[in-house]
Amino acid sequence: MNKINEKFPPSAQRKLTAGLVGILVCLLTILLFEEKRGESLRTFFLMPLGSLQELGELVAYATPMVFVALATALVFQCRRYSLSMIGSFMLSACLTTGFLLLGNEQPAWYLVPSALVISILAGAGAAAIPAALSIRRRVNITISSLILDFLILQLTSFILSNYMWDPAAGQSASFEIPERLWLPEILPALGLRFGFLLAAAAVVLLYLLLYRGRLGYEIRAVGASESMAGYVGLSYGKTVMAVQLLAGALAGLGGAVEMMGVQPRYIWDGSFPTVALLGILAAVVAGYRPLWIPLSCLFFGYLWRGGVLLNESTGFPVEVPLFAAAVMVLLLLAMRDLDVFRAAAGLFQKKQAGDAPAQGMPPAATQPQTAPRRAAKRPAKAKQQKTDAKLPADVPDGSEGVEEG
Amino acid sequence: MSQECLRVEHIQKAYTEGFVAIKDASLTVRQGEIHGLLGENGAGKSTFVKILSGLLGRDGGTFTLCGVPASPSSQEEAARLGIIKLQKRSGLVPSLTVEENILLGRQKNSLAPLDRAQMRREIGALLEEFAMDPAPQDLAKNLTAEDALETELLKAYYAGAKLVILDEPASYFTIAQTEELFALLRKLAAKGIAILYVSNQVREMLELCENITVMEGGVTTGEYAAADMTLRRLQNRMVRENKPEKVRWTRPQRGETVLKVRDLSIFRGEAHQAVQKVSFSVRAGEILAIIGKPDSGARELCEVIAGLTPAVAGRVTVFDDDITADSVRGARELGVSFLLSSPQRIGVAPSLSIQENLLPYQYTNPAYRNHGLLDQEKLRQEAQRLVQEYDIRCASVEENASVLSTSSAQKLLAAREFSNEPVLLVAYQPTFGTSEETAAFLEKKLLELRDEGTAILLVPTDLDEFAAIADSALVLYQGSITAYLPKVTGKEELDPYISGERRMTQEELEAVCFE
Amino acid sequence: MLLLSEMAGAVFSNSYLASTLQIATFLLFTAVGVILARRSGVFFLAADGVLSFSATAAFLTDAAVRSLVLGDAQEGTQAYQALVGRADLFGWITGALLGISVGMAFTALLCWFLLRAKTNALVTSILFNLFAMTACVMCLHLVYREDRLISSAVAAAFPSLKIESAAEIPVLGGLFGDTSLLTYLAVIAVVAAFYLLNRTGFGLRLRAAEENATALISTGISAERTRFLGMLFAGAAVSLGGVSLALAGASPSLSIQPRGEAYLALVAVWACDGRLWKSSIAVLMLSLVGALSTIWSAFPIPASLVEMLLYIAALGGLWIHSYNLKRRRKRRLRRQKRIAEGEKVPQHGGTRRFFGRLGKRARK
Repeated sequence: MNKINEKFPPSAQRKLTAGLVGILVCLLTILLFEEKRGESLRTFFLMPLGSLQELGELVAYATPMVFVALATALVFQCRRYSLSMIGSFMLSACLTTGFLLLGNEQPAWYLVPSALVISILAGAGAAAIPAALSIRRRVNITISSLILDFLILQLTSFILSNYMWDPAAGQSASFEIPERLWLPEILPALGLRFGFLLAAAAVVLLYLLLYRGRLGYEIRAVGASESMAGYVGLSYGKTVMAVQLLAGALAGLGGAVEMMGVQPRYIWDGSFPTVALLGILAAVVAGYRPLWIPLSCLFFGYLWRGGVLLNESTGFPVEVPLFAAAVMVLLLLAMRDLDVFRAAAGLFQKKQAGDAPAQGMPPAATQPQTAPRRAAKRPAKAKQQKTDAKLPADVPDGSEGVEEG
Repeated sequence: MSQECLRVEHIQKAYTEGFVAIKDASLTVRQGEIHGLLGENGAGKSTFVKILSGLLGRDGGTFTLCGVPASPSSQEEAARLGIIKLQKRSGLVPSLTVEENILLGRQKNSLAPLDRAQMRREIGALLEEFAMDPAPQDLAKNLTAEDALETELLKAYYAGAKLVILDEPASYFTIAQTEELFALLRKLAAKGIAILYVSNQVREMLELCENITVMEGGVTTGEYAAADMTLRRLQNRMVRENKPEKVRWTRPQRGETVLKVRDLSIFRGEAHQAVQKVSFSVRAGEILAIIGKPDSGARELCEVIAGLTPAVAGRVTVFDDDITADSVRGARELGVSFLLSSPQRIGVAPSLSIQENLLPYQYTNPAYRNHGLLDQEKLRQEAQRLVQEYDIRCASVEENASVLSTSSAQKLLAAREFSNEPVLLVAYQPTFGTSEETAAFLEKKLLELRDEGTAILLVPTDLDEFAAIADSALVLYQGSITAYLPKVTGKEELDPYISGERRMTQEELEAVCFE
Repeated sequence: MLLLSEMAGAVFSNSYLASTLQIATFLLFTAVGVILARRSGVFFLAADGVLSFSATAAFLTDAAVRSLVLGDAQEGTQAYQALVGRADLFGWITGALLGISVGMAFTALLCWFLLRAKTNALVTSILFNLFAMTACVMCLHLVYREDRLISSAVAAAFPSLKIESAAEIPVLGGLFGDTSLLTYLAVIAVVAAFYLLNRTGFGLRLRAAEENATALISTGISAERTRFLGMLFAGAAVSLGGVSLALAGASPSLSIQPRGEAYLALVAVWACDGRLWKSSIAVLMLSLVGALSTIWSAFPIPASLVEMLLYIAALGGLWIHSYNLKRRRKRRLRRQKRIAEGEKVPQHGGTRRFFGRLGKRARK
């Protein structure tokens, strides 16, 4: 057992378990509520991986998500839990669409870079408002950013229905952005566009910033303990502002990448874009670590692509992947300090000994939650005693759910 | 005649990493008795008390309460059994009144309306009976430290406690206040409550307790009747063999004036002055100690000099640079370091690595960067150097700071603050919560730093530390200076100044304001 | 111009106050829940999740039970007429009960995370809200595939108190004419919360658990349990909010579009520092703005813009609160400066003293 733990650390075990549960949730929902089971399952699970074209589509779906996830990781590492990346994403997507549609006559070499700049500015601008309120006026950044998100939601649907609405599109959606204004293709076989390169660069840059740079140290110090940061004289306001602006800019860029090549119509009338919400969840799954984010985004992108394909063929609710992702992340939180393999082995041995109650374990979601708690009790207690003699926790949120050392 | 209240025998306790805190501890406390638990710092008293109050489990031994075997597994359970331990931090709810605090949790049906009139009558009578100062309607947050402690005692009595444990309550009270506290304790004991008084002060013990159990090195070595013992004999009982060597004080080489504080006023809360018009100076190469009761305002003073909280009026200068309005950053740029201990330990971030905790100044220093990125190798070497120099016990500098013991965490703080060649060091209780060994080490470091020419403003952790390293002293009483002593002498002559009974003349006090 | 005057006229119609009350009802419940949670030491960001879960559960149960009782009876037939009364009664009763229990179960789960597993409160709450949002939308989509707004005919409304004579009064008629019982219940909930927090031993314990848990532990009461109980009360209040979100009003309907209702209540409570009476008033003011979108829906102005007003008002509330805080801090500093210089300063200024006394009386 120890050998396994060495090669495959508990944190990875937990993530794997959560991922399996996510897939299981999708599977069960489809099995329960869809009539044409076999075909639906094939559509959901196999079609996104079916061809090179589809694979490229999957990666394209995941690309904007990476931006939102990176923004979330940045903000959450600093522990200023603002949710303005949703608003930044929407605002910049909406403004980019509007800009490109209005300036349709101009040449592409002018429009495309300007659209990217606009998206960055719009994203950073949307994030700056709650940040400024929180730094200068001590307004709770979580609520103010959420309220701002709803404000932007209404604003964008106003812009959509009054200026960009395409009556021929069926449901409420904007006119399509002409293909010449999309980001240039870099890998035609897969259909990958320039946005992919941008995302990859953002991942690497953010990693360097967070773990190899001075600002990153300040961000993590402010996040780890605000009192410690104040004690050593790091300027708290500047750090928080920088984080929020950077996160807003990233999310905004994600909005532009989404519009210019992935989803050429602006379609979010009155509801939040799934890609932004999935991006937040992906960041939590990756433990706010930039290098893990592409992986979790690809996984969520896979589920999401399946959901979209299924929705197109049978009209099955497109929220299934999002639901599965939420369940997954909650499960990950619940398992925080758990050694999954050991706990499972403990449970298995207990069952063999015959003293386990013969109850029908509810499948999937509850099993890893209830079972290992019993097995994990002892280490937890030992840990508690250890910390008694040790350093008292610093701030109320001194420990983090899915973060591992 | 008096029955046994608590009898524990052969208690053992080992912490997880194999360190045995308690080897063999036994204790018997009878009803209506004030029992002393005497031992040096680090003798295992607090662990023992934690086991008695249910906070820690025990590894072996028997536990009987009033003749019935008991084994409280949590503090709540211990409290339900009648064992109440008063914490070092106040156990009152700040925004409730004295009566509400005493009656907290005593209602059988907690959803029924409170009978305020009856509450007032009952608690009024209770306060009257024990001749206590606070009125039933006083808010707990406005009480002085002594009144709060006494209110807690009454709360425990009213809750029907059988055994009340006090962990070193009197270490900072002056003689006058301890008299009051002792009187209350005796009254409570007369009501049949057993009191366990934990301390390392032999004098207090002899005055207050009937029987004294001595503890050393995790073993209780014997129980003695206070009447049979003298101060010297008892002191000899508790001396440890391999006691760390005391630091040796040397004569200071005073230099020019570094810190000047003039007419400083600081507020705590809306209109309560924590510090009133305080003026003094600290010169290079000297340790100026500020002593007083916990609410004397010394902590606020240190925080203002460090730039953590703003002052309302007055001036703080370092080498004639005004830093009154500066933030922490401004103060630090001028070479001010500070080491402020608190139970919450504000200076260490548990979820960052030891290296990151140790080197915040290096992380922000361009000299430690390579092509714009941090020079990891250089940083690691620096961290390892400090870890070795200050003997911070850890497996590697990459570990999270949460694995550090209290002593090591304090050494980490000291390493960080002492190593950047400070002009002025503000040290508030620098050895708070550490083992004796660490305390001696840190005191030695402080003296070294002083000899290198750093001006040090010290709020000593205890009077031993004060006597060991302070060069001169200020006494603070309720935010104003009552005495300035150019040379440090014994404790007794300070007492009237600490309790505010006496005050030096203005001229004598102005002697500390060098230009 | 004409449009403007007509819009102004609409504000003075009976329906304006009626729809204000409808919005105020669930906001008031939610605000009470948030305050109770705050006293239990929890920042109840997850109230939004509780609200949407309980609303969805209440609505779906109501609709299901009602159609079950009605069976095959067609609208307009004799059988339908005979059954409809009973169907409605069963519908709203089961709907309300299930809505409350689902909401409370969800709160209990949240408590497990926050109080037992001790996960990060904000992240957990954000995730819970996301989970609730998607779960509810998915449920609704599964039940009614491709139907964005669930039609009004299927669920029975919570009964309302009809006073014919009062309904005739202009403007204020909306207040008493045809008000859902839930609205009266919401007012009672505010009073009950006040009683619970300030007049009972449980209120004292809750405050102790929030401020200094050792005070509670040394009386032998578990702080965690106390906080959990407080959270259950909070969950019940917010669930009632969810029930009124779904079932109050003449024709129950459930929108799948997120509106952030609970966040509005959170803003109100946060901007009033958790004071019960102040927050209730703030909530009423927010619902006055919120009701505009209902009464102006007939006018040719974009609905989104009117909806935006609500969020702008909320942000404005936050700003005003922070502005007040800043002013108060400045005034305090001035006073302290004067004290430090040795002036005699009265305990409180004139207006401060007046409001202070009012506040004290309210708190006692």
